[in-house]
Amino acid sequence: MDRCPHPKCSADDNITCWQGHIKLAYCPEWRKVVQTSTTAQPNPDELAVPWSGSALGESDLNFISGKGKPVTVGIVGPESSGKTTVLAAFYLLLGRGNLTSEDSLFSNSYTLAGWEAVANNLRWKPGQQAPHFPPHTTSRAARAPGMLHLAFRRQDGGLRDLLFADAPGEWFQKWSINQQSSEAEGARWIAKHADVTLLIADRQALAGPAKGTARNEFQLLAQRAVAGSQGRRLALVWTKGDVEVAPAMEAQIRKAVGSAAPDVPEFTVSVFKRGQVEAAEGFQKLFSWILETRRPGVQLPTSEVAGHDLLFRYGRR
Amino acid sequence: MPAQHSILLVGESNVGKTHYGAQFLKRLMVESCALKRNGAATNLEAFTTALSSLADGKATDHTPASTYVESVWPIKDEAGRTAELVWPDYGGEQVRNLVKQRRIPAAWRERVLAATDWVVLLRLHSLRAEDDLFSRPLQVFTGPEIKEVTEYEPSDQARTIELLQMLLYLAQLNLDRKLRKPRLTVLLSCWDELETSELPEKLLAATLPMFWSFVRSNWESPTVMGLSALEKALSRTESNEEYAIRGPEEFGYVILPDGKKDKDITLPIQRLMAQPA
Amino acid sequence: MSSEYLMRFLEIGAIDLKGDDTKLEKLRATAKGLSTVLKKAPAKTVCFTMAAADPGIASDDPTIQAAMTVLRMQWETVSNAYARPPVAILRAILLDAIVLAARSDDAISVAFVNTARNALAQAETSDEEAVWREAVGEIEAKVDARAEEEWATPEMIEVEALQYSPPAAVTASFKPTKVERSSLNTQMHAAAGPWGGTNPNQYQPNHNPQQWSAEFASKMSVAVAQAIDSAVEGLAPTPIDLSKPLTALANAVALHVDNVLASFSTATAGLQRRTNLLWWKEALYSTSAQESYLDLPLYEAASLMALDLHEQVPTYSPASVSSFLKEAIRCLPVDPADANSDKREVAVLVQESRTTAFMQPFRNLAAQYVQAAEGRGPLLSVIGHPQNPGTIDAGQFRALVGIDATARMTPAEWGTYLFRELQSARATNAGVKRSKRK
Repeated sequence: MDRCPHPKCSADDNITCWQGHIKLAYCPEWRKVVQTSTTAQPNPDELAVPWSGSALGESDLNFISGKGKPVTVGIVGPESSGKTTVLAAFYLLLGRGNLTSEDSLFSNSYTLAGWEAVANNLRWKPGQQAPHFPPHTTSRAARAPGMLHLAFRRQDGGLRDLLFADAPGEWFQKWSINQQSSEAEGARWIAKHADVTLLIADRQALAGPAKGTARNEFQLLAQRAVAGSQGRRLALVWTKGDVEVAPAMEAQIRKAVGSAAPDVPEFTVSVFKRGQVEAAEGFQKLFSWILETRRPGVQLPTSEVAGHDLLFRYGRR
Repeated sequence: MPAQHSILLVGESNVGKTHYGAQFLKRLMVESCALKRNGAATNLEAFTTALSSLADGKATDHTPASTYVESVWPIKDEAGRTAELVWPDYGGEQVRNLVKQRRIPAAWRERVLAATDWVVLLRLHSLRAEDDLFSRPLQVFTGPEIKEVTEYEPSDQARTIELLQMLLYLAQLNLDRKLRKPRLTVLLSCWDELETSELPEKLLAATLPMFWSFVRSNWESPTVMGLSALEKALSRTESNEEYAIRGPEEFGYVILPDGKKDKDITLPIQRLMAQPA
Repeated sequence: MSSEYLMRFLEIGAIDLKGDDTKLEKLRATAKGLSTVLKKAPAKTVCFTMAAADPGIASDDPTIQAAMTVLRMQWETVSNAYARPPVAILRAILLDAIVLAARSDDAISVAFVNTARNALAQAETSDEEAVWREAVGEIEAKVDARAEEEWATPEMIEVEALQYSPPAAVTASFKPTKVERSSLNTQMHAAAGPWGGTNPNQYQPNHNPQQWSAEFASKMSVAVAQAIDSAVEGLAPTPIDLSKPLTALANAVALHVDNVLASFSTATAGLQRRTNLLWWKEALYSTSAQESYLDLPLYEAASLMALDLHEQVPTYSPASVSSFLKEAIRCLPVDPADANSDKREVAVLVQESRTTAFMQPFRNLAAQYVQAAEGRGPLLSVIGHPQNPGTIDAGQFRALVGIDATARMTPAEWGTYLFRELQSARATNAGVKRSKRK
């Protein structure tokens, strides 16, 4: 099928036109091609919908954020630290009804295919070996991270949209080294928009042969992430929680986060059962913490005034 | 005259929609239910083969239409309330493809816009229950063997949700508030093969928790019922003695939300008609 | 400039319009259209601002719906392009429209600034803080400039110079006269003897010297006197009319004094306002209720203080006046035995305001200022029109006033909230006298 000449439109990509023309034939942009082209036209008797189901890019996001900016969750961590596994676990638990309570029911998702793709690897397949780690999230040419969407209905009847950024670890590594790096635009996007930042500490890496490098990378990344979060929610998430890490190492990691932002909550997740703790539990705790995110209101400071009249300066900082 | 109901029946292939339609039609014909026909149906092609197979006690092979056709039946109940039952037929795999290819026949749009009630047929028995890390914990995680998997089937649960999401979009309904209209009824078809005594709603909640959450959070008061259009499994080739003698209208039942069994398989529709359109 | 808030607001909301000028133009045109609507009906400012300031505003709120109608005129298929009604986009448009209108209308400015300060604290807006801070800051600076005029003190008076230009110098016309020589000559000749022409001296000087000299003297004196008289007569000045320049001077002085007095009385009014404010805060006495605030229950006192202060100050008051109120309320004693004294649920406070006899004057004023609530609007709408005095349920409460029913306020927060609402309502309400001054 043809491409829509509009730079922002992905109407060729199995979704509707970005201006909202359900029938492409009515779209003025699309008609520009139609007149000159001889290739197959979309069936005029068929309609498309404006979401593909896959992870959302920066401009696909408008479909959801037009209503209001979703609570955006940035998962910040180096490569293979288990970021995608966290997302996959969330989705699987959601599918089993084990993620949320009655106060907040799953309502919808416009990225079901994206979630399925992420979770697919953690499922047992008939005639296949056991689940394995999700494949590496590649740093595709697209500069925006793929965003996965979920909406929950709260008790008061309102909807709460959540958006999870599934971004490759390379972005964060580049970003931790050079904030302005041209390859770190996606990381900058996350740092700017994330309402919640999950800072991933990979226990396997921190216990492995390259633990020094891993610690160093974490410290750099933590510094950046904490500075970027500017008082927004931030949590330290230990992944691969079944792996033992030297207590002194744990202390260093906590210090890297805690020195800049005290009282950072900590979560530990693992796909293995740890003692009496079911694998699901860590993910559930983390998710309900994410779900209770609320942006505070704004108390605007009174604006600056010139002059020495006390009356006008009264009550101002 | 109160506004008329327009009841849309949605189901993927192989959920027993044609059998239900044929049984429904048979009930209307022999007037063994509380509903009456209220004029001629538009197109009964999809159901005539099924009707004759069932008369002999055989299951039918529904040959799906290659294009979108629909069958519209005007009906009325004892109180004189009228309704239109709309049976869209979009050909075999098309509903699955609907979600996959993300193209919907334009005629659907008119239907979903006009519908006052949606009846969704789900056949729980044929849905895959997949095991994952949480239902079957791992002993050993097979190392970081990275293999990019490009081909996979989305879960049945996700596909069913996506289907309804697409219909909601086409019907220009937004989910800002829970929906009062169109009302939603979920019919769990082929109830007999489930061999359960669970309440329909409980069973749905246990089998498809995410879908059930989706339904409950977005509709004001969804209804879930069990449906066995045939009451027993029929063979395609060998006729069933009892069916042949007593007639298919003597078979089939619904399980009401409170668990009670009723022979009148038109009850789900009657209940919808009893409510203001 | 005009699109600045629109664009920034969208960007903060993760709405990416980069490179899509056609769409942006539609949004801009909508903002412009809505600002025209607002200028024609400034009373809508409060509702517009409250809708813009709450990300959780319902998509079926009347203000949002109205904005959507305007947007749809620009962009027919807009609703297909979003999963749910594009409230965030409409909010961005509303903010832009309000700022556009406020730039040219001070009343809208007052209502916007006061309402925004109230509403932003109640909604999940922290991510939008930067853009709100700038928008409110810009408009507040304008309001404060206007307030400065009304709150000036004598030492701040600047009196313009007297507007009087003196008339051009008057030149009196003066022609030097000369003695009429020929007639004097004739008369003197006549006086000299009987040979003189008309009316001569009948005596010969040598014959009757005595009589002659007598006659001569009398004739000469007449002739000389006549000559002098007529010469002097020619010297008499023409009269000069000074009434015009003097009237002009008098008028100019009168006007000048008027102006001086006017700015002086404004300044003394400003001074008096300041003094009253201080006295009011120190005395903690309600002149309207004839009662000391100290004797009233805490929250009742806070409501009454908001009302009294509102009556006392003009529409254009500096932002610091509400800080003043806050401090004054904080001066009230807290009963340590009352567990509710530090914070109470807003829903309860509103319910009381709708029903207690004590709040009747407040309700009367509120009803005068605003219509009954239809969608998101001020507390005043709910308080002033308690047709159905039953409790409002939590969902409806949030929809109407944008405050969580469970939210709690201190007396100071409650009082300043009401005060800002009163100020906003009076500023944009054409039917009510704009400012009551003493």
